[in-house]
Amino acid sequence: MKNSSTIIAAALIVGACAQPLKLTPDDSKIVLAHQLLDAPNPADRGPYAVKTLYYGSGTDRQRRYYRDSVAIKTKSVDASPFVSMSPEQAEDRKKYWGFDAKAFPINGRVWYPDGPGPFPLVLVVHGNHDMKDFSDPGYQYLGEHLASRGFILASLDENFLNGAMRNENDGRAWMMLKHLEAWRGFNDSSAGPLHGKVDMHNIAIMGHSRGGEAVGHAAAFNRLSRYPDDAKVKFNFNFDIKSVVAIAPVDAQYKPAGQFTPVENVNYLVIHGSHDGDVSAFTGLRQWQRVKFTDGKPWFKSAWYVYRANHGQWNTVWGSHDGGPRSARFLDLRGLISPEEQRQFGKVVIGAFLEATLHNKREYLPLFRDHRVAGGWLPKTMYITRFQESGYKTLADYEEDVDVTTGSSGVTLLGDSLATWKEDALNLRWQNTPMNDNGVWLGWNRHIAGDDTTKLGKPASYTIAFSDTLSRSMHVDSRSSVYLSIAPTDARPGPRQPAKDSTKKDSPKTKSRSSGKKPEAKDEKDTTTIDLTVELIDANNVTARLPLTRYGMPRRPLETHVLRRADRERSQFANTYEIVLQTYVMPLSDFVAASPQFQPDKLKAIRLVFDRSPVGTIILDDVGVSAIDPAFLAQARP
Amino acid sequence: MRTTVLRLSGTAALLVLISHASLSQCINQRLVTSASTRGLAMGNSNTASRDDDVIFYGPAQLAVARGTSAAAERVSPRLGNGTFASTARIATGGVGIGVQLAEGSNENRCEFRQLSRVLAVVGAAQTYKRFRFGIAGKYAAEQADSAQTSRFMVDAGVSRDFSLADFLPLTLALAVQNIGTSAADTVALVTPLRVALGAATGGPLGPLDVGLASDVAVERNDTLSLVKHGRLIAGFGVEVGYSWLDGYSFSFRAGERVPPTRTDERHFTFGAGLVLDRLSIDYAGEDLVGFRIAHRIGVRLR
Repeated sequence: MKNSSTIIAAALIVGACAQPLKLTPDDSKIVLAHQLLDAPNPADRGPYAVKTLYYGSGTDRQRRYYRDSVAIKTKSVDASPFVSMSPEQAEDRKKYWGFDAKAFPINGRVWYPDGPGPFPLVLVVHGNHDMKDFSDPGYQYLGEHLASRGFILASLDENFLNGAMRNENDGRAWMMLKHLEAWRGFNDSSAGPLHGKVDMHNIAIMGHSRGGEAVGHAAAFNRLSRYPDDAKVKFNFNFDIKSVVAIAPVDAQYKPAGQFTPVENVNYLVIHGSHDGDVSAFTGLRQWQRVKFTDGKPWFKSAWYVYRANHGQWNTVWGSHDGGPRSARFLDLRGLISPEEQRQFGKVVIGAFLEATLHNKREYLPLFRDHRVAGGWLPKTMYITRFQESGYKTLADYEEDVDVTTGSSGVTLLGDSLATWKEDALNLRWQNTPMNDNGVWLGWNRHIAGDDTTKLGKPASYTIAFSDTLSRSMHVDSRSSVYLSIAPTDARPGPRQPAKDSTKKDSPKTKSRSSGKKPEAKDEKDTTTIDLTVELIDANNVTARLPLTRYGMPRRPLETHVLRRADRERSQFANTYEIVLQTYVMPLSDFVAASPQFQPDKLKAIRLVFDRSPVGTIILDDVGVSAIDPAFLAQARP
Repeated sequence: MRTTVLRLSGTAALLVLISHASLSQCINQRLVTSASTRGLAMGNSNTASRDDDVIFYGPAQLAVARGTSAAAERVSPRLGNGTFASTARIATGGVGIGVQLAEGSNENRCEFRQLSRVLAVVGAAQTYKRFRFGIAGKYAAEQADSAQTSRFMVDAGVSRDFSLADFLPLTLALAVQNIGTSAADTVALVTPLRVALGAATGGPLGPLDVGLASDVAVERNDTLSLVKHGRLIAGFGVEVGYSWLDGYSFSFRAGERVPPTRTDERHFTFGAGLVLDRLSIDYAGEDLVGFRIAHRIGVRLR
């Protein structure tokens, strides 16, 4: 008896507060069952032999390769306007590195194809990490891979900006642009090994973590003539940055002129792991929302939420322990996909994005509209993806006003038989940080309150209707597509109240029953699959209907527990899931095929009919239409 | 509210323990020096510690110390002592209070039959350009039978963190204690002017956490001689810990010391600790003359 008490006490102490592994059941066997994209796998090695070189100061105190092995020597730059630190910090860093912010080196390691070129240039910059555990070698797998496929990849050394520094993200971005200046020189210098090999009109910048935020600033600085925080500092970059990739980025650690960084007219890709133990919220979605297309050119943006991926496995130096070598004490690492799978995902998605945007290989575009077309390439986990291209026109983004019955100008919103209908702000799960985005919550329950549990009311619906003027101005036709972004939640509204029979007098019995409050509409957690019908209505009141699931899997929130201690998880996170909406792009031609009398050029309303699941709640955002490039729609409908 | 209740109950428990640890050997005529359970287990090396009870060893580390603790030591069936300490961080500084009590009765070498001592300390520290400067005011009182002695004193200290070989943290702390007491004063209430230098370091070693601490001190006596009626006091200790979950760990400690004169303290000390989130429970044992072991138990809330 005494022994068993001791064992129980010991078990309680050892297991104190640690939570069991909780994951959402994997549906990838169904969702990723098909490989429809008929193109070479972007994760396969390409035809080029790969060469490597280092460029840098040639005087580095800590790294032999930046001291003894540089093929191209570079001049240091004065980054002091962008980097502030305490005198003690400056002293420590100078002691370790041998230089201060007035003389930051332009160091990089390069993987490039063995060929005449010119090849598109991709710069990748790491984020914050232990400054003495150098981060720049961690993208070798990506460098070798992309170089074999005809890209030049340079991994930039910004380790000297790492460690306990704050407010340096503008410095990271500016350094990136100074690297591009150096690259212009490498390409122009007839004596150098990279002479004429660099396609300076096809540039991508890629960053990880704080570097992922910095690429947004770099894209913005690239078009500015002066530093927003000190106009005495002049900029003159104007590089042809076509594509921006943010890997698990932070957001708004630096705000130029006190504002969120605006990014315009680039292709933008952001990827983030659900089990990120460092940046434990999909903050990159905020920058994704802020990317605008204003010049009429064919840009697109794509966001990927990767279930069970972490922060560091996209960098081989960082690895699985997002909080440092001993972070297994507080991070729950059991649910992570393997480093190989995570990097395979990086090769597929980043590879396809760069192939599509820098090599103009349009066959990869459908991957970003609907990831289910590449079931054979993607590692078997669950993904939620956002997508938008420059043809998109907003009908409702729920930020226009506080009137739930109006959307964009000329758009009317109408709910019928809904249990929940409200517009609200979307928050990130980490401490309820604002996502700076709004949506509408739509909940329904067809069950009628009472003893007969089989009794169902009419399906609830939500209609987005637009005026004739707007309809005409959108130039919608059979080549257009409807956009919806939807996330089912786990809320389950209570049953609907029976319709009152006005011809009957209340008997004393019914009176006593109804005299109190309404039967409680319990918001229970719901885990069943959800589906709904998307109904398009033309000016002749002809409707065309298709199920939403034809365009993607509307999943319940993906259960995410990053920390081992349940109490710490509760104190840090508002929810056990991140609300990430899935974008559904539905070609109008599909609706015509389903209902040949339907005339898409006379589209006057989009209606969501909640008839396929009796109970549920969804968050809806970014309802719109687009004259989308048909290349995105190839290989649709797995 | 819960913290306050815990603090009060800890203090009450301490007083009960102390009141029961009376009557027996009066070991020495010195004010009890060991005031930290963890520190005692590591050769009574606590000057560079970051625990709240560092207030008894020097005030500079109050700038970084955390927690509230209570501890009781049973030196013998008739002699005990106990401490209570609490600190609070304020911006880049910190403040702390500490109370130490000792109760005992006659022993063969003592002239008196009953002994009661109390030491109260209030201190504050501030960080300035990486250095931590601290100062503390102390009140010590003793009643030996009907004779009463008391005095006010001051402690001052400075400490700083360094980095050994660019990766191993090292804390050095210097403390000057009992300023305001003269050598003649120490006949009754032994509080000699004392200068101590403490060092503490630690870091990961495989899956374990290893900590090292040492103190070296000299005390003033009539001749300022280290060998006559006073000596070099030193201690060294090692701690090996293992954490299986963030905030939960256990550790074992051992120490070696060169104790001051006129005490029954001998060289070897040892102990163990268990951390359960915000609660720590520590045990220390110290080797005494006559093959006796004094036991000390402390609890700490962070």
